[in-house]
Amino acid sequence: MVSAGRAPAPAVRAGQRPLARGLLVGVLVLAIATLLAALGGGLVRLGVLPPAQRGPTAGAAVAWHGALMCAGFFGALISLERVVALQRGLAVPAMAGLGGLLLGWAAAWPAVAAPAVAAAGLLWALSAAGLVGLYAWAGWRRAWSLPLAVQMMGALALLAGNLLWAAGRPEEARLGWAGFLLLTIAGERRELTRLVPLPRWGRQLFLLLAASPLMVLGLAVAGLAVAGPAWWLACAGLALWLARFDPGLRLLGAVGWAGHTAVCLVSALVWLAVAAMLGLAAALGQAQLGPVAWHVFWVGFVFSMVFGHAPLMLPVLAGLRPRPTRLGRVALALLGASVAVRIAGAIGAAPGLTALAGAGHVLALAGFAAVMAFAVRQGRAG
Amino acid sequence: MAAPAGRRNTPAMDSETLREALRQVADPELGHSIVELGLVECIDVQDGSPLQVRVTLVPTSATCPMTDLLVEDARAALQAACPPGSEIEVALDWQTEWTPDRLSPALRTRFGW
Repeated sequence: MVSAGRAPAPAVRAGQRPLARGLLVGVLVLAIATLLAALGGGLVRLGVLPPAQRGPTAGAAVAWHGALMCAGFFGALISLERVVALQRGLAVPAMAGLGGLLLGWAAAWPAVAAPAVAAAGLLWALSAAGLVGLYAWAGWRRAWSLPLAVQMMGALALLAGNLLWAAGRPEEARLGWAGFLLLTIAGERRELTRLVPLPRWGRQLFLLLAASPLMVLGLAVAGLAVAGPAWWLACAGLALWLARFDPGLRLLGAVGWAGHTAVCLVSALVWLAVAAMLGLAAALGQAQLGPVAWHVFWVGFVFSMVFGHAPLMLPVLAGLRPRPTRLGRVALALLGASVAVRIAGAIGAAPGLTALAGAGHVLALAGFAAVMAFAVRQGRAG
Repeated sequence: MAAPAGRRNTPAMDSETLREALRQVADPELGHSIVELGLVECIDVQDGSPLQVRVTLVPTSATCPMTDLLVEDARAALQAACPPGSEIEVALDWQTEWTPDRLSPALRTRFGW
């Protein structure tokens, strides 16, 4: 016998029966269906499509765009990633996706609205509680760590957001959902920063920034106006912190998807900082910039991260291995250009530019999906 | 003494040979090999027919969905390096904490340690 390193610990997991790929793909399809259901309302908001009496562009779909995107699509997608990691809890993302489908159905056919909305709210609350439980299980059975705790706080923010939405408080719910995404991303990036030496002040500043979203949510629920500027200050702080310490930024010239992910990270941090500046300007009296600040946060920051993460997740979620290509950066550039047009539309009070930005967002999403399909095909061709 | 059937012309398999094979497995997000990142905790090789290989990896995160992908890639790299019919097992050790001390000297320098 030849051996290197320590003998294996007795608690080694020698592999466990994986969740059926078909079920994972089924839930992924649910999440994407929720994304598509949310798009109609978003495009009406930007003036790309006219509102309708019923269907995916009806008034309710416009009002529920944020809920469908955050509680539905991102709730399902992020919890599905955790389910793959932990090999348990498939009901958690399934409930988020089903809630999204129910709400999309209710938006399209108002006759079924009341019971479907109540059911969606219940499913989303259960799903978010389930995500908190998945993180707790990971800490209990595997290992607690700061990044895990930060992501668990993100799940708590999602739970709070979903409950606030069900209680008819969409403004505060939006802060909960934004906190969910910000903390999930911050936790994931904090894992990578373990690769680099952090000064004491850097470690302490991160703790303060990571604690901010839930504190801000508490301020908002209490009705304190300081919640808005505090939120954007936290965003600005996190953008600067990651720009200073995230080792992913050192991979801009890397081959494979690592280089693509690094470019997407740069884009995301730029848009997070821009969103924070716009949000702070809105808090200082430029109120017309408030909506565009949020738009830059969701589309610029969050979707840049999605573009960077998607090629890494396709193999684990769908068993597809896209071959690295620089074409993904074209879709990212289109996304960035459309976000810039959206900002110009808000500053210049030009509805035409805002509608153009909305069309650009759709083109960027469709273009990125096409690039992924092409890359998967190239990967299959060997 | 003649080599066992099916093993003729096969170089002796030892942990260093397999460690070299595992250098081809990269963390998809970082682009660095799992050996350089210090994820390979233990390589056991038991000569015999079939050859038995057991590799233990130390995950960096309790909730990273890419962990199982790394296990799959490591198994494929080991299978490519070992004679056909070898028994390959890749396991995860959740009891051992990953720390930056596990990085290779080159990566430690690169990351500023």
